Amino acid sequence: MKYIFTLLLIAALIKPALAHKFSTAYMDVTQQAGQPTLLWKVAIHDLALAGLIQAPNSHKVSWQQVLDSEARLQGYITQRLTLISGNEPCQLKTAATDWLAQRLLQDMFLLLPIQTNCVDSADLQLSYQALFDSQHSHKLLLSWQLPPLKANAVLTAKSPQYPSHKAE
Amino acid sequence: MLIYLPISNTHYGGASFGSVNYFGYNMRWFFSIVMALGLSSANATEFKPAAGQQIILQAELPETADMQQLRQALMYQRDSTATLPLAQLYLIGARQPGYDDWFHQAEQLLRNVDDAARQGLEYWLLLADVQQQQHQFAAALLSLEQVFALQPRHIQASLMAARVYLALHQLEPAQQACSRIWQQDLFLFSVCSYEVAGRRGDWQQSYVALQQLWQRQSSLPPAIDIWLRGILAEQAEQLGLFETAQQWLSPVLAQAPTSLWLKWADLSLLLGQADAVYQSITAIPQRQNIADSLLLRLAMAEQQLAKPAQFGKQLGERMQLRLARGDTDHAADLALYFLHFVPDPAAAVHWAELNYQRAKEPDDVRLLTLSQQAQQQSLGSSE
Repeated sequence: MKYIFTLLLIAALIKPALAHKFSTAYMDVTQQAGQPTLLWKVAIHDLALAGLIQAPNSHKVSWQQVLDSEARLQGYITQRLTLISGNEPCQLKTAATDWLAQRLLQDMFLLLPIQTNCVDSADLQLSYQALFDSQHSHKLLLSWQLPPLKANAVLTAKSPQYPSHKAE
Repeated sequence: MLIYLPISNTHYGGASFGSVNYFGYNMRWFFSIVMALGLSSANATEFKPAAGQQIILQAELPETADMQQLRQALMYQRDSTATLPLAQLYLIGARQPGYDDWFHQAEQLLRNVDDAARQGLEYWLLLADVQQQQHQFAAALLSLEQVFALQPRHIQASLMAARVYLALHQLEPAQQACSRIWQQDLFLFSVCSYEVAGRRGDWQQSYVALQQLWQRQSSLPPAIDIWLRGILAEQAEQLGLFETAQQWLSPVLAQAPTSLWLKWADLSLLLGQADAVYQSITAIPQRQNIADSLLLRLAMAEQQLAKPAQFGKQLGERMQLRLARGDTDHAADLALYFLHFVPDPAAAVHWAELNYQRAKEPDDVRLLTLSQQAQQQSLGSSE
């Protein structure tokens, strides 16, 4: 009997056990001094996998390397996160000096406070387009605490906005 | 008394949960998202590391020499000559318990291959494997069609197609896929066909024939031995020979993929051998990274042994996060969770049905039946 096939043949014939891990980020949206404030909690591993943190490998990274990614992450936030007030986009800014780390379940997360500058704090809408392209399972668990609307939501690649429809 | 919960303040964009018009689910989901968000806001663990502090992102998985060599090659020349073989090695390795992250590495590599590589059958074969591992069976079959367009009787693609059709319980196409290769490799054709025959209900005949086939091979390569033992274990289990089924798997457990670990653990728990399950899973070198499905079996063993719920707690956190995300993947784990840890037969039926919509293998049917039985018992006792 000739075995002309590779190992993949056999590996692929055994019932798969769904070998993928979920990617989850969190965001708290609150109000401070009349302006919305965002706190984005994102797995450092996910940022490294997306090439946003330059690490020699995917196993470990120094905090300095995380801090060094400030400009890249600021650019990414500008591209992928949008907070609209009325029809005007708010300015979003994060500073590495404010960043913290936190272990959630098994993963180490980066906590990025994002300061905003909106012309108006009413009629806000968040659009989230981060990490969907590098992590197909990525979702954002959103805690929206801007009076009068207090709610939780899950933002996905198919439904990346909150509120999903802006008030007319 | 009906208790009103502010469900309308919890939003989910995906259709799956949005369409579930079931008060219990919305309620559970509402609590899950609150708990998941609450977990994320527990500020006791927030800290500002020192600049030079190393942050471990994930356990380092020991790469083989082949992987290291290919990764080195990729640094200098980013083309498919190194990318596809490395993706293949990662996909093979990712099936071992705790090595799931390699699956993502493989996905990443495949996402970035050049257009030239996308013309070759190796790319489509690897992509089909990624897709079937994600239970995207229709997409996997389309990818395999690309292979067949280039090579109609491709052995690997034919056998993978049979595997996908078995997962969907489409037995006629599964047999047709097996039959593609009877001229190339009679042994593989036979194994493939006996597996299909078993699924048709001919468990006894198939088991005897497959066992004889296995016995006739004096020295099977380990990977083929594991594959055959997996089928023999399933067939023995279907015949009610639980101890025999377990014995097919025990000798190869150390090299077995996660799915066979799950089967072995289920059989062992059924046979009252929770201690063996507990000892074996906790001894897995990459235990910190094991899939939720395996953690669930470890937590079941822990529960049966009446140990403090260390793994049960971990499992609960992971399941709450899953519920909050509203994922329909891994629905079997949630069904088992609601059968064994937070008894809720209606929830178990809901997740078992979702699982059955995706995959229709004997274990999926059994899970649905068990959940329905639990629900009927629950309804009976409440009347």
